[in-house]
Amino acid sequence: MPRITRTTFALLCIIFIGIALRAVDLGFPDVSTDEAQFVLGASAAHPPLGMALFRFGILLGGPVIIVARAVSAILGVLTLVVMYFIALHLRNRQTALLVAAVAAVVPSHILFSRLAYLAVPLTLAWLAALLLFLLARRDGRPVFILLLFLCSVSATFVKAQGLVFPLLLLLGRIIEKRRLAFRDPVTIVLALSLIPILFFVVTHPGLPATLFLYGGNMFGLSHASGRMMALLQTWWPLLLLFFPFLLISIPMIRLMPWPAVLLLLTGPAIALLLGPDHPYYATDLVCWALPVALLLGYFPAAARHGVMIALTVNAFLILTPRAVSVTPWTYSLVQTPGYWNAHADTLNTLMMNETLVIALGATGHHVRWYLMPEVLVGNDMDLTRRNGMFLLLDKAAMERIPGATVVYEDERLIVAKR
Amino acid sequence: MAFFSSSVRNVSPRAVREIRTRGLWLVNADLTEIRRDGGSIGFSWIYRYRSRTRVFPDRRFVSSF
Repeated sequence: MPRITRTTFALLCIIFIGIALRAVDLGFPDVSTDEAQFVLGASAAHPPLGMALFRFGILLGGPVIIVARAVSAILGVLTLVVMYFIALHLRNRQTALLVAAVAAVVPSHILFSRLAYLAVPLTLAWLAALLLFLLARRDGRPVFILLLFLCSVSATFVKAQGLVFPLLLLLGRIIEKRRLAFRDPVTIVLALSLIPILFFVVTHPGLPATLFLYGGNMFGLSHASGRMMALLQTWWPLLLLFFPFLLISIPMIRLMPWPAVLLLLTGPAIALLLGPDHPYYATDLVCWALPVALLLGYFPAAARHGVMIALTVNAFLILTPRAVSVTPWTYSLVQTPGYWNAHADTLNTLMMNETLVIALGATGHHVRWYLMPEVLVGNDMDLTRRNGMFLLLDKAAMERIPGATVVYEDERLIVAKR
Repeated sequence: MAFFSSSVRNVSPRAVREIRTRGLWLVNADLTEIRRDGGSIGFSWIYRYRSRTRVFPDRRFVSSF
């Protein structure tokens, strides 16, 4: 059994802190509109596997958000394990431990490990695909090739953009093997792994419809500088000290094999193209723990230890457990208690005898999660002859329901009946 | 594949608008088929609403243009 040195012990402590930070305050933030879609298993924009993971959790643990978020937290911890094995494959045990420790304290990954988004499952699936690709590429054992197929298929079914990385791996492998690619089992398996999602897209028109019709304005390269600024503004409060280390670790990517470089670049590229102001795209920056740890490997031991302590404190300040304190650097989402967690019971008591509620104003999917009756979105409905209960998230919408009486009002909304 | 047709793409926003005028959530409306019959285009939907504690029965409808 290898002797545990002080450095190893310190890195294990940091990993433990990272795991603990992923497991606290799971119930604190309000359920967001995206989370509600995924947890309710109803998003036409994504294939079903990621949502099924959350539904499975809820099936086992009951319809409470902590359960769905716990699924994310477990997958977040598994991500650290996969990163450890990737680094072990590329370097040695000590570097692998350093990579896992850096990954453990990447604040954006900690945050989304506490939330029921598809970002953490997708990052895990991509990293697992990378690991198995590297293993299969090295010795071509059938078990790695089979597992690569399964991981690649899983990645494509977790989230709509999940196919990007397997597709890039396939293209990279074709370039790598050139004429031999058509007889290469790794190439063949990667190509086959993309077929199920193609069938899914063809047989579920809702997915391309969402991409091309409803959300077409998300994509593109227009306003490149604006997108870059939005990306920086989104990432900065979520990363703080990790961000400059990420930037100065960029030269380290030349020391990494091309499949790992592809993964490092895929996340930021997708964020730039699909939504630089969406914080969840910062989740896969956890992969940058690889070059950051390689960079730290060049530091003298004392400096390396100092940086690791600083990165751990950084994560702790951004995502301090509520039981400890709220710092000026605490991420906005976990700073103050949410409205819906505090008021859902009151609203449901008011709506106890209703089967249907019409919501007016900016109605997110979280409303479906918190309210017991079926919710219709009334913004584009003809309400002339509609009676019953109305939830006014925009108070000015009262003028659309003349004759209605206010049965409840607070700083955020009105409940009215007609 | 129907989305490659410009006529389908032209009327698609109207199909989406119709779902909104019914007060339905787009993500709960599964587009199952696009059928062209002569000059008209029909979008078949299955509406599946689920709250935290309840799965409501499926509702099927067609938007024709």
